[in-house]
Amino acid sequence: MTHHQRDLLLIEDSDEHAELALFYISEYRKDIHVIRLADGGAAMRYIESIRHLKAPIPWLCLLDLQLPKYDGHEILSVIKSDSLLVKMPVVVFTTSAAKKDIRRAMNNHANSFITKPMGADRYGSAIQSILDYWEFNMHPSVLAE
Amino acid sequence: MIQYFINHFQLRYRIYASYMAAGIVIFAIIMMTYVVFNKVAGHFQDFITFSNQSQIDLLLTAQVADIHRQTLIYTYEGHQSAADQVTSIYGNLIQQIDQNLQHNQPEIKRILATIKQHLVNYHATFLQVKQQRDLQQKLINVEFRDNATAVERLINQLILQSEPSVATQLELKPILSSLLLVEKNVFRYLDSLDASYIITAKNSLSSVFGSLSAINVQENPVRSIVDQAIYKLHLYEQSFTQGVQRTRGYLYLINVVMAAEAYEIHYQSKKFSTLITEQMRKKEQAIHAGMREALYLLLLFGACLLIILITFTYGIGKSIAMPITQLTETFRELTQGSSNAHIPEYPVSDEISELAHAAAAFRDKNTQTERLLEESMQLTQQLEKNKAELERSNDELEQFVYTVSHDLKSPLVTSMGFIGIIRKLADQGQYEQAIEKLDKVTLSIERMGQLITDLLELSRIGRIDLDKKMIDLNNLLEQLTSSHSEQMRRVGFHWVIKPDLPSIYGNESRIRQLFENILSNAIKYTHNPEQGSKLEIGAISHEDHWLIYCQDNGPGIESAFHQKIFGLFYRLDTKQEGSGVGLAIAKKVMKFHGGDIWVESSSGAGATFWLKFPVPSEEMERVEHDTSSTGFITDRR
Repeated sequence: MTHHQRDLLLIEDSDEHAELALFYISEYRKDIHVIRLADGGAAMRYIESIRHLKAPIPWLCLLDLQLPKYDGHEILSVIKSDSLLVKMPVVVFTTSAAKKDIRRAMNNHANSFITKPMGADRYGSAIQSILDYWEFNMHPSVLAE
Repeated sequence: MIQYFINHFQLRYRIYASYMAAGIVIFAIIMMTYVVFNKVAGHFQDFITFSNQSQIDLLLTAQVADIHRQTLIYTYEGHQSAADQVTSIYGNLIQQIDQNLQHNQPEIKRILATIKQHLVNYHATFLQVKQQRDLQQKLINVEFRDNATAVERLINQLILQSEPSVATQLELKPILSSLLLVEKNVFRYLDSLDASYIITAKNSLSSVFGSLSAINVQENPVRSIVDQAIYKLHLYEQSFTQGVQRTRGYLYLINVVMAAEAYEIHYQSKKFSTLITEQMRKKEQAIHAGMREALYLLLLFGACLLIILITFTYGIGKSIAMPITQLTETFRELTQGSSNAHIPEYPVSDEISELAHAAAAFRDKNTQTERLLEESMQLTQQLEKNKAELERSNDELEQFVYTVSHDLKSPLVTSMGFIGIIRKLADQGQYEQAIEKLDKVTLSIERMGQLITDLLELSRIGRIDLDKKMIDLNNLLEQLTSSHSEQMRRVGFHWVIKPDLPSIYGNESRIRQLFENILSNAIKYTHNPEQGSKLEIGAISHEDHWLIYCQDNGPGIESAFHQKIFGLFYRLDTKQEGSGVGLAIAKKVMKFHGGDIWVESSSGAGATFWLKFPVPSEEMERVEHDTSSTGFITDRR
């Protein structure tokens, strides 16, 4: 494992949820750098900037679905229709467990769909599982360094 | 003609009539043909008669020839059998003629009578000939021979008495031979009937006369005998001359009289045959002419009858087919569901009129069906509309449940998550930090409470507060201004209300809530430090409704979010306070009032919310006037 700091893109409108995610991520893995985007508009701008600047692609993306301006599905389809960004794993992390959302996310090539758990300790363990699962996913651009 | 048939005869009689017409025409043609053939048969009978007659004629001619032949045979040969033949043939002929005389036309009868007459003459002559011949035979055989013998004996007596005179004897000897010669020549003549023999005989006889006369010139003792001989010689001559004359007589009879009769018979028979031929020729011409005429007539009548039959049959056929064709067309239209198909008029009551009645019934049925179909279509349309309505409300409900579940879950996830953190921090002994996090839990649960309150409020619209009345918007907005004036002053917000806003028909508290939401949104999101934030409200009358605009000079809204902002719990900006219910309530209120709300904006150029209200009907206004007069609302301006 490299000691390179990993970028994790957290697209989450709720400040509280973002705080929870940040807390558990930082507690579990100090080396992960979280980029938090609070709404759909910000997420779109960020994606555009990565595209134009050919900036390094984040290691993993946690995407909420209910977002102001553009929602998670729209962002997902933009990411997955871009030749570069498509390589970034996108984990849909949302309160919704509706079939409609799952189907739509899968059709848009989401890499994973996790419903935010309602339980005192389960939020943390969900975050841990996600990070563990994608631990060995190395983006070629990351590997090259 | 066709129309006449249709108008006066039933279908079946028309069909019968056509068959009967055909039958009559065929019968007439057959009868005519029969007559013609009968005529031809009659002609043939005539021909047969003629043929028979000509046969009789031929037979007659042949028999006449035969009888003449037999007569000649008898004449020359003298056979009795020939004479018998003649008699028998004669008998036959007479019998045949008599037979034919009984049944024949006068002309032929006359000819046959003539023939018979001649035949009778002929036979009479024959009998005469026979008699003559018998006499001649007798003459020759008796008298002639007697005389010859007598002369011969006298000569021989002379020879014997004249012995002294050798010269006399010498003279007498040739006399004997001459006498023999005469006899010989006479018989030769009788055999051949050649006149030269008679001449020779006569010469010989005259020489004998001469010789004897010469002897008697001298004085002679035998003078008496010589005279006697001469006398006998004269008798002899006389007898043979008589025989020759008789022969010549019957030869005359045969060759002239009988030949003439035979010729006459022949002539008559020829006449007879000519007559028959002539008659046959005439008959033939008559037959030809008659046949031609008959054929012409047959052809003409046949053609006329056929033309009549064809015309008649065509008329009848058309009179049957025409109404049926028209009805078929009608039925075709009827089967396509037409309810105004034309049913042709039909005057007679028969099978076709039944069909016409059936068509009428069919048409009535079609009319009924059409009406039912129309009703069912209307029902279907209504059903479709209801179904669409139901589906829409179902979708809305689903969307509502989905949104609500997400937005209610979200604070739960938050509070549970933070409880986990608090526990973790407490385990690590970081109590102060743990207690800090407790606020987060409180806040999120409070938010949940707020959400539930908002949801309740939303669900009330259209369910509670159903009472509607005329609302003067100028009045309402004025009241709003006074209640929010402190807040507006604090943030430096301008609220411009154009005069002459219309009155609308609606629920006052909901309309008030609607404008409050719009106003509070404007206050929250319009930040225009350069010109000063402001909201302008005015109205435009458009067709049958009022358009009320609420125009701010804030940052504006991108067109991508023009629809979304009216969704439940949808928030463009999460930094500001709020649950995202305000515009959803506004939308629902507008729908409840039969109107609509939408936004027109472009980024950075302010936003205009348009409210569409239907113009209140006169009835509503009238009701309002009534209620106002009773004093519910005393001041409307």
